[in-house]
Amino acid sequence: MTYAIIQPPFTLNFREMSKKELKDYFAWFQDVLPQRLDELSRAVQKTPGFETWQADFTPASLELLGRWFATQVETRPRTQDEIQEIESRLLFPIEVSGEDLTNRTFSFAVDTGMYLSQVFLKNHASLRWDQPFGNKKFVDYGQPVLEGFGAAPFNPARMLVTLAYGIFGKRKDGSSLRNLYDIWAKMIK
Amino acid sequence: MGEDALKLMGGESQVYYRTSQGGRYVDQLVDGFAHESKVGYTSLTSDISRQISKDVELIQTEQVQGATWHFFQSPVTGVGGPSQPLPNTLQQSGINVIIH
Repeated sequence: MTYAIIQPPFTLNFREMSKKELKDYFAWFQDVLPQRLDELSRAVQKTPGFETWQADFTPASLELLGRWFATQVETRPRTQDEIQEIESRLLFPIEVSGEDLTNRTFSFAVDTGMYLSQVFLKNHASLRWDQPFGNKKFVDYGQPVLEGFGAAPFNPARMLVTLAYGIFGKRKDGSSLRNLYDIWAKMIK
Repeated sequence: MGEDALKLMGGESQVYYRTSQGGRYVDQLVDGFAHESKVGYTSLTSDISRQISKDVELIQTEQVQGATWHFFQSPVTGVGGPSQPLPNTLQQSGINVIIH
């Protein structure tokens, strides 16, 4: 399967990015979204067992996509420098995993998150894109999120990265993507 | 920049979440997992109960993969750890407990 990993022309260090960079990031995210959905579709349909998957933006399409996504989560060893860098940021000692998701997995997570955002938008007219500013410590600060769920926005990229960590940790599985949609769909105001 | 920037999405310290019960600062987010630190003797007060409830919401909405509360001795008093009912409440809520 040939798959082009997403190449954000930004640091993704959102707290450190200027407001202009963040706004450029938001515009870039929206701009590349259609291409990334095409890239995701091709990757899924070229995977044996998933050839029939169609990006039809129905909630049901998340079932097979979720099973595919779970088969794509891979890790790599963290370097000593990476472990030390994480440990240097810790406020108190935590055991840091010697493994992290591969760039390809992060990329699949962002692409799958983009697809999930479109499933939400096409099935729930009250939802809309937003980009929260204000508190730099807000977990979704400066990032593309969907608003309309109540208190918390839905950050498709972050939520899928979190799901990928869950699949790696065996706390989540191929049914989790559809479950995630169902949980948040119930929260729509 | 480029694809290597993606790995920054894994976690940060002092992360603020919005919940239906109000804001919640998570001390440390690592690989999608929330870690909370409590220094000194910690009782199951109403504030602590509210924090637990917010963490449960973050877990149930899958904004975090799970949560662990870490209890440390106070370097000043030498006292630390949770009161008797707190670990049970945390564990019944699906939150891990580590006493250092």
